[in-house]
Amino acid sequence: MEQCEQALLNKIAETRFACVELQLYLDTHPSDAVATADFNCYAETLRDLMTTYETEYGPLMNFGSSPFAAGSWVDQKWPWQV
Amino acid sequence: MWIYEKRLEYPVSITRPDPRMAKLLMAQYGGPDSELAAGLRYLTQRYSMPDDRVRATLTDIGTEEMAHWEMIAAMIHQCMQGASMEELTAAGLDGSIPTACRSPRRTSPAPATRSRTSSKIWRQMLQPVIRYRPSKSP
Repeated sequence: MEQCEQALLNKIAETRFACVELQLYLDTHPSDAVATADFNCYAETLRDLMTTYETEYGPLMNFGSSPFAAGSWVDQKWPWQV
Repeated sequence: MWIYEKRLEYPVSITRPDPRMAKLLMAQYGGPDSELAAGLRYLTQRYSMPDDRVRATLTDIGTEEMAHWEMIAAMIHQCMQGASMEELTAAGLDGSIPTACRSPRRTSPAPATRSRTSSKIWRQMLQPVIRYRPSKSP
Protein backbone atom coordinates (compact mmCIF):
# COMPACT_ATOMS: atom_id res chain seq x y z
CA MET A 1 0.00 0.00 0.00
CA GLU A 2 1.42 3.34 -1.01
CA GLN A 3 2.12 6.01 1.60
CA CYS A 4 -0.56 8.44 0.40
CA GLU A 5 -3.25 5.76 0.62
CA GLN A 6 -2.19 4.75 4.14
CA ALA A 7 -2.08 8.39 5.25
CA LEU A 8 -5.59 8.95 3.93
CA LEU A 9 -6.84 5.76 5.63
CA ASN A 10 -5.28 6.93 8.90
CA LYS A 11 -7.05 10.28 8.57
CA ILE A 12 -10.33 8.43 7.93
CA ALA A 13 -9.70 6.23 10.99
CA GLU A 14 -9.06 9.28 13.17
CA THR A 15 -12.18 11.07 11.98
CA ARG A 16 -14.33 7.96 12.28
CA PHE A 17 -13.01 7.47 15.81
CA ALA A 18 -14.13 10.99 16.74
CA CYS A 19 -17.56 10.25 15.23
CA VAL A 20 -17.90 6.96 17.13
CA GLU A 21 -16.98 8.52 20.46
CA LEU A 22 -19.24 11.54 19.93
CA GLN A 23 -22.09 9.27 18.90
CA LEU A 24 -21.67 7.19 22.06
CA TYR A 25 -21.68 10.39 24.13
CA LEU A 26 -24.77 11.65 22.32
CA ASP A 27 -26.56 8.35 22.99
CA THR A 28 -26.64 9.24 26.67
CA HIS A 29 -26.66 13.07 26.22
CA PRO A 30 -29.01 13.49 23.24
CA SER A 31 -29.75 17.17 23.90
CA ASP A 32 -26.15 18.38 24.08
CA ALA A 33 -26.05 21.01 21.31
CA VAL A 34 -22.28 21.53 21.38
CA ALA A 35 -21.57 17.81 21.03
CA THR A 36 -24.15 17.58 18.24
CA ALA A 37 -22.43 20.40 16.37
CA ASP A 38 -19.05 18.67 16.87
CA PHE A 39 -20.51 15.41 15.64
CA ASN A 40 -21.95 16.97 12.50
CA CYS A 41 -18.67 18.72 11.78
CA TYR A 42 -16.65 15.48 12.06
CA ALA A 43 -19.29 13.58 10.08
CA GLU A 44 -18.97 16.07 7.20
CA THR A 45 -15.17 15.81 7.29
CA LEU A 46 -15.49 12.03 7.27
CA ARG A 47 -17.77 12.09 4.22
CA ASP A 48 -15.29 14.31 2.36
CA LEU A 49 -12.32 12.11 3.27
CA MET A 50 -14.15 8.95 2.23
CA THR A 51 -15.21 10.49 -1.08
CA THR A 52 -11.60 11.51 -1.73
CA TYR A 53 -10.40 7.99 -0.91
CA GLU A 54 -13.06 6.26 -2.98
CA THR A 55 -12.44 8.45 -6.03
CA GLU A 56 -8.75 7.60 -5.89
CA TYR A 57 -8.63 3.97 -4.67
CA GLY A 58 -12.07 2.34 -4.84
CA PRO A 59 -15.12 1.65 -2.71
CA LEU A 60 -14.83 1.53 1.09
CA MET A 61 -18.36 0.33 1.75
CA ASN A 62 -20.65 -2.29 0.24
CA PHE A 63 -24.35 -2.57 -0.55
CA GLY A 64 -24.69 0.80 -2.24
CA SER A 65 -23.06 3.04 0.35
CA SER A 66 -20.07 3.72 -1.90
CA PRO A 67 -19.83 4.41 -5.63
CA PHE A 68 -18.79 1.18 -7.32
CA ALA A 69 -16.55 0.54 -10.29
CA ALA A 70 -16.69 -2.95 -11.77
CA GLY A 71 -14.33 -5.37 -10.05
CA SER A 72 -12.80 -2.90 -7.63
CA TRP A 73 -14.48 -4.34 -4.51
CA VAL A 74 -13.17 -7.79 -5.40
CA ASP A 75 -9.69 -6.77 -6.55
CA GLN A 76 -8.86 -4.34 -3.77
CA LYS A 77 -6.84 -5.68 -0.84
CA TRP A 78 -8.73 -6.63 2.31
CA PRO A 79 -7.91 -4.79 5.51
CA TRP A 80 -6.24 -7.77 7.19
CA GLN A 81 -3.82 -8.24 4.28
CA VAL A 82 -0.58 -6.40 4.93
CA MET B 1 -29.03 -4.07 8.80
CA TRP B 2 -25.30 -3.66 8.85
CA ILE B 3 -22.95 -2.32 6.20
CA TYR B 4 -19.31 -3.37 5.94
CA GLU B 5 -16.55 -0.80 5.81
CA LYS B 6 -13.46 -2.18 4.11
CA ARG B 7 -11.05 -0.86 6.69
CA LEU B 8 -9.92 -1.81 10.18
CA GLU B 9 -10.97 0.47 13.02
CA TYR B 10 -7.28 0.74 13.85
CA PRO B 11 -4.59 -0.58 11.50
CA VAL B 12 -3.00 -3.93 12.36
CA SER B 13 0.43 -4.64 10.96
CA ILE B 14 2.23 -7.67 12.37
CA THR B 15 5.09 -8.75 10.16
CA ARG B 16 6.73 -11.50 12.26
CA PRO B 17 4.93 -14.82 12.85
CA ASP B 18 3.97 -15.48 16.48
CA PRO B 19 1.72 -18.58 16.63
CA ARG B 20 1.73 -18.62 20.41
CA MET B 21 0.23 -15.14 20.50
CA ALA B 22 -2.27 -16.22 17.83
CA LYS B 23 -3.35 -19.07 20.09
CA LEU B 24 -3.73 -16.73 23.08
CA LEU B 25 -5.83 -14.33 21.00
CA MET B 26 -8.33 -17.06 20.16
CA ALA B 27 -10.08 -16.46 23.51
CA GLN B 28 -10.60 -12.83 22.56
CA TYR B 29 -11.93 -13.90 19.17
CA GLY B 30 -14.44 -16.57 20.13
CA GLY B 31 -14.29 -17.20 23.87
CA PRO B 32 -17.04 -16.44 26.40
CA ASP B 33 -15.55 -13.01 27.11
CA SER B 34 -14.56 -12.34 23.52
CA GLU B 35 -15.31 -9.27 21.44
CA LEU B 36 -17.85 -11.38 19.57
CA ALA B 37 -19.62 -12.54 22.73
CA ALA B 38 -19.72 -8.97 24.07
CA GLY B 39 -21.09 -7.66 20.79
CA LEU B 40 -23.82 -10.29 20.59
CA ARG B 41 -24.78 -9.65 24.21
CA TYR B 42 -25.14 -5.89 23.68
CA LEU B 43 -27.09 -6.36 20.49
CA THR B 44 -29.41 -8.88 22.15
CA GLN B 45 -29.94 -6.85 25.32
CA ARG B 46 -31.34 -4.02 23.16
CA TYR B 47 -34.72 -5.70 22.77
CA SER B 48 -35.62 -5.72 26.42
CA MET B 49 -33.95 -2.44 27.30
CA PRO B 50 -36.63 -0.02 28.57
CA ASP B 51 -34.42 3.11 28.49
CA ASP B 52 -34.22 4.96 25.14
CA ARG B 53 -30.69 6.22 25.69
CA VAL B 54 -29.34 2.85 26.74
CA ARG B 55 -31.08 1.15 23.79
CA ALA B 56 -29.19 3.51 21.49
CA THR B 57 -25.95 2.92 23.40
CA LEU B 58 -26.33 -0.87 23.20
CA THR B 59 -26.87 -0.64 19.45
CA ASP B 60 -23.79 1.50 18.91
CA ILE B 61 -21.39 -0.28 21.26
CA GLY B 62 -22.61 -3.66 19.97
CA THR B 63 -21.81 -2.50 16.47
CA GLU B 64 -18.40 -1.23 17.50
CA GLU B 65 -17.57 -4.58 19.14
CA MET B 66 -17.76 -6.14 15.68
CA ALA B 67 -15.00 -3.76 14.58
CA HIS B 68 -12.91 -4.87 17.58
CA TRP B 69 -13.63 -8.48 16.69
CA GLU B 70 -12.33 -7.89 13.17
CA MET B 71 -9.10 -6.41 14.53
CA ILE B 72 -8.54 -9.50 16.71
CA ALA B 73 -9.10 -11.66 13.60
CA ALA B 74 -6.55 -9.61 11.67
CA MET B 75 -4.05 -10.02 14.53
CA ILE B 76 -4.54 -13.81 14.65
CA HIS B 77 -4.27 -14.07 10.87
CA GLN B 78 -1.07 -12.04 10.74
CA CYS B 79 0.47 -13.84 13.74
CA MET B 80 0.03 -17.14 11.85
CA GLN B 81 1.17 -15.81 8.49
CA GLY B 82 4.53 -17.30 7.47
CA ALA B 83 4.75 -19.73 10.41
CA SER B 84 5.81 -23.29 9.57
CA MET B 85 3.49 -26.26 10.14
CA GLU B 86 5.83 -27.35 12.98
CA GLU B 87 5.53 -23.96 14.68
CA LEU B 88 1.75 -23.99 14.30
CA THR B 89 1.55 -27.52 15.75
CA ALA B 90 3.81 -26.57 18.66
CA ALA B 91 1.49 -23.65 19.45
CA GLY B 92 -1.53 -25.97 19.37
CA LEU B 93 -2.94 -24.47 16.19
CA ASP B 94 -2.96 -27.59 14.00
CA GLY B 95 -6.58 -28.41 14.81
CA SER B 96 -5.76 -31.56 16.79
CA ILE B 97 -7.81 -32.40 19.85
CA PRO B 98 -6.33 -31.19 23.13
CA THR B 99 -5.25 -34.09 25.36
CA ALA B 100 -7.76 -33.09 28.02
CA CYS B 101 -10.63 -33.74 25.62
CA ARG B 102 -9.24 -36.75 23.81
CA SER B 103 -10.46 -39.59 25.98
CA PRO B 104 -12.31 -38.51 29.09
CA ARG B 105 -12.96 -42.15 30.06
CA ARG B 106 -9.28 -42.83 30.59
CA THR B 107 -8.60 -39.70 32.63
CA SER B 108 -8.99 -39.53 36.40
CA PRO B 109 -12.56 -39.79 37.70
CA ALA B 110 -14.74 -36.72 37.55
CA PRO B 111 -14.61 -34.53 40.67
CA ALA B 112 -17.07 -35.54 43.36
CA THR B 113 -18.99 -32.29 42.95
CA ARG B 114 -20.04 -33.23 39.43
CA SER B 115 -23.21 -35.29 39.46
CA ARG B 116 -23.63 -38.38 37.30
CA THR B 117 -26.12 -36.58 35.13
CA SER B 118 -23.86 -33.66 34.43
CA SER B 119 -20.92 -35.91 33.61
CA LYS B 120 -23.19 -37.87 31.27
CA ILE B 121 -24.20 -34.67 29.51
CA TRP B 122 -20.56 -33.66 29.35
CA ARG B 123 -19.67 -36.98 27.71
CA GLN B 124 -22.54 -36.68 25.25
CA MET B 125 -21.39 -33.21 24.33
CA LEU B 126 -17.90 -34.54 23.74
CA GLN B 127 -19.04 -37.49 21.63
CA PRO B 128 -18.51 -35.89 18.22
CA VAL B 129 -15.08 -34.74 19.39
CA ILE B 130 -14.14 -38.15 20.75
CA ARG B 131 -15.19 -39.92 17.56
CA TYR B 132 -13.21 -37.55 15.40
CA ARG B 133 -9.70 -38.77 14.64
CA PRO B 134 -7.62 -36.64 12.32
CA SER B 135 -6.06 -38.77 9.60
CA LYS B 136 -2.29 -39.02 9.80
CA SER B 137 -0.54 -36.72 7.38
CA PRO B 138 1.17 -38.62 4.55
